[in-house]
Amino acid sequence: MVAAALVITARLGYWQMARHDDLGELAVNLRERTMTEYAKRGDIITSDGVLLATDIFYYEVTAHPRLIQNPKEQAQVLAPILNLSEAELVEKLSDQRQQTVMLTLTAPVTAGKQLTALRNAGKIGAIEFVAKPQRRYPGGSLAAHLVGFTSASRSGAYGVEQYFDELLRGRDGQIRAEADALGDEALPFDLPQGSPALNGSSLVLTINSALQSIAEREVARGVQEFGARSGQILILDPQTGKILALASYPAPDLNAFATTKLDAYADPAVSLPYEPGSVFKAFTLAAGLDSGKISRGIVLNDPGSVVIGGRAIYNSDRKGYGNVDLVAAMAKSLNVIASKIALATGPKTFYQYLHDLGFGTLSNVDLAGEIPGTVKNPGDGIWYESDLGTNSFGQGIAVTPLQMANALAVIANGGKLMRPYIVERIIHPDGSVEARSPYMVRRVLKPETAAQVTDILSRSILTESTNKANLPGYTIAGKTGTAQIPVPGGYDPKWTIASFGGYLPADNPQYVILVKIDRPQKSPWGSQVASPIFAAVAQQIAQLTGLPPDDIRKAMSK
Amino acid sequence: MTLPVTVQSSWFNTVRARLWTRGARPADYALAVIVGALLLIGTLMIYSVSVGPNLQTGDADPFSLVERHLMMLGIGVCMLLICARLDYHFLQRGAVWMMLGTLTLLVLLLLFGDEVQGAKRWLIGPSMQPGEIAKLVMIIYVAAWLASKGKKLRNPLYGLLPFAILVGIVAGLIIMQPNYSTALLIVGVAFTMFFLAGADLKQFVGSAFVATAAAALVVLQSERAMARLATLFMDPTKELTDGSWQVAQTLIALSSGGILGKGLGTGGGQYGYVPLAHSDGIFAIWGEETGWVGATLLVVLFVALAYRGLRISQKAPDDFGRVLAAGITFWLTLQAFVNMGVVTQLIPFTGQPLPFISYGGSSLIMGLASIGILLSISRAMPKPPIVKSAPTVGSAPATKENLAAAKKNATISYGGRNRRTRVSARRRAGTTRRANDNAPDA
Repeated sequence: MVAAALVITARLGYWQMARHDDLGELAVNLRERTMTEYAKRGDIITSDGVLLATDIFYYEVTAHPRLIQNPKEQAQVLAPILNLSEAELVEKLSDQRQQTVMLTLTAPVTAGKQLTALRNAGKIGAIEFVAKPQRRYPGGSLAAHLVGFTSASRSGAYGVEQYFDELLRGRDGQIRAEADALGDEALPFDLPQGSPALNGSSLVLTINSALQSIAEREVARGVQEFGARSGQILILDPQTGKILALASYPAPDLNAFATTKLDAYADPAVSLPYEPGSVFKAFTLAAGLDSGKISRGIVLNDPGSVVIGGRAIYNSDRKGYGNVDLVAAMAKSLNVIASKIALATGPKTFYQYLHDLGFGTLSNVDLAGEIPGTVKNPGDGIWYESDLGTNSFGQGIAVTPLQMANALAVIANGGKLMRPYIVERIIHPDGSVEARSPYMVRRVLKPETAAQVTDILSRSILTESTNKANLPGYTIAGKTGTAQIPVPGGYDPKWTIASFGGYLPADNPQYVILVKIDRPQKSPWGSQVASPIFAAVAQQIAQLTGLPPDDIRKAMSK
Repeated sequence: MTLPVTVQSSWFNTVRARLWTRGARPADYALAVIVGALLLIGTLMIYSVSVGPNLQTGDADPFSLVERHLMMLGIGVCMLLICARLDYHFLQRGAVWMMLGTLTLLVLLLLFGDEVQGAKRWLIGPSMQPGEIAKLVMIIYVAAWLASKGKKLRNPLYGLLPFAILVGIVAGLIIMQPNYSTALLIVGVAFTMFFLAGADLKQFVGSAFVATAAAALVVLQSERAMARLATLFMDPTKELTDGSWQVAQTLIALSSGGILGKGLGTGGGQYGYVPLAHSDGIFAIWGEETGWVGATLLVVLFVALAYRGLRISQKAPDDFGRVLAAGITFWLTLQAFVNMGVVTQLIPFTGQPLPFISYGGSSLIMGLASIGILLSISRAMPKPPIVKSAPTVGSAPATKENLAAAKKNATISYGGRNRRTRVSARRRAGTTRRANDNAPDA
């Protein structure tokens, strides 16, 4: 007896002392589970409170068929909770070849309590369920390009989702705890260790849902009406750089990212450069006036062509208009005059202004996938003197729609280059709110110059009989553009990009609107295609925001 | 130690005289304290393993196991008190009937028992394990049988042969369940009692050889038993195959306790890892929660139990008492060490519960009843015939007559006495301890 006891005691000593370290560690490894507590990704909300993106929790339900003795009974109980057919469940639960089978990824969040109750009552066994968030976009394709989406692997792609991924994502919790042999119940006396989940921050955008809807509706209508391929409408607040609407057509459905080509999600407003065409003349004008190389009252002669760097530049209608002032030059959109202004300004100063207006560099907008565009510069090896002429009316230069709208905003706000932004406030998970304020990058134009350019642009619109951008009762400033589309070896003979960039009201600009229609079939002209869309958008904005017509507004402010 | 007696009639006094212990000495309180400590540990551990999700029973109520255990404990303690009060000689008279009853139960079990994990061990639902009852009844019967044989025991025709047949029938019925470990335990205890009762050493060695061969044959025929035997010769924690998972989990739980343990109630092995954590595997959880110190304490408690039991056997007034006490003591201790041996992987995996600790009604009640019997034996006064065989009050000289008497009578031989007849301390002391010892129990 005593001998047996001594042997047992010694054996106990062997296991509990000599083997304590390695087997104790094995116990921890075998029993400890790292359970992920999923963080809720932040919401994305418009400035007026419309939910664009949110996380909804669904239960992911898996089963271990080899441990299930009564698949039929369990299927009967589970079917209504998981919204699955009983036959399908029976088949899955009795699939003895599988260690683990996935029953559903999207059991409603209410299923959790029901499943827990059933498990505690012993009605189901060997069933695991974990709440996992899934990204949902209530708006579908509303503001699709600027929102972007969250991939199945929970990382943001495109738009705000990608740009603010770190903030939105939060941090999944890692809960380390001992679990039972089925791995799903933390032991009662074992305090979970690790980091709890930290939910992501929510973003309030500068986007106004009503303006966004107007822009989306009008761009869709414009594209369809003129048989165009695509189009964008941007609405900016020139005083602050806030992006109020950013619409592209066609727009993909954000909830269907798994079945849609990824290209469709790239935001043309920041990712797709184009040759802006005559809208760009506004900046040539501003550069000439601000540098003092031309004056407001100057009268220039248009002989119908001008040779710059060995290359002849013609007006679009190949006519000459003789002596014209700046308003007429803008109204008739004369390439020759624009070239002459650029020539007068000189390449160094001209390109300095283009750079200062934000062309060729990133605007640093808070959207993913922004590209800087291409502006050739004297001395960079690819610039020729003739480029000065073509660049002056927006040819041979690649810009993004956002750069165009933001440069127009410089003229509209009196000469300040603002950094455009789309996230107005960040709401942190602790409830604190981080407001983002407008940021002035630099002063580009003197306020007087900006006022002169606005004056010229608004007058030119009024004198231009064929331009449909005019909105009765409101003074607008703007410029049409009909740009050829560069193809290898020259320009496409058929297609154009019709655009209009402008702002209103001209004396105190509140809205910069850029309309860009790509490859319209019915008419190639900006004045015919983009201008009426601009007018329609401007009218609806005025109605929506209660912007009074100029005469009333001026009378009220007196 | 007297019960309040309100009814005094002649038949009552007759029954009492037949059943109640006469002229009681004080019971072996040390034994009671040891068993009490074991019961306390057992209840604590059953509570510990039943907290949280009880994967073994699928029961959500954390108290259900403890409640049932306490109920069984209550019944067991009643059995203990009754057995302690009763004159154990009634067992000698009733041994045949108890044996018949147990045999009937074992046969009924084979016919109507519920099959759990490939073996029929339960009768009337999960309420009674006849195998557990058979252990004690077999010991009582063997003790009665051996005591009645006296000097004829050395004749194989009267001794070994009928004894082997008797043990074989019971063991056979239990093997058919199948429950090899209980059968082996019963055979082991029975033959040890046979030897202690004064059987011939040659016969004992011979029969042990035959029994071992028979056991080996049975084991070789059973794949399950072979697989379990195989696990003994490898380190199951190195390679976690399906077969070694259970053994490995038991060792992992035990080892992770270290020297001082994780603390009561904080073990993790009971959460579906250690197989049968509430019954056969409970020692591993105890080892996890209280470490080497706690595990060794439990070993010491069982050694102490064995010591008290053998002392009671030594002091028992007659052959039946001596053999019975030794049998019970040997059974409980052997079973405890078998269980501990399984948990520490000294012997192959077998399903023997740890007496007084493991959850299990039949095992607990029978264990407590047997402690009651031990206490009863400890209280019993020497009977007149024994006094007659040694008429001299005082130290018994190692005379030839005495040695001859020792050889004639079935006596327990523990060795270490230079082959002298064993003499109780009282007789050696030569005085009666109390003047009133011989007085009838009033």
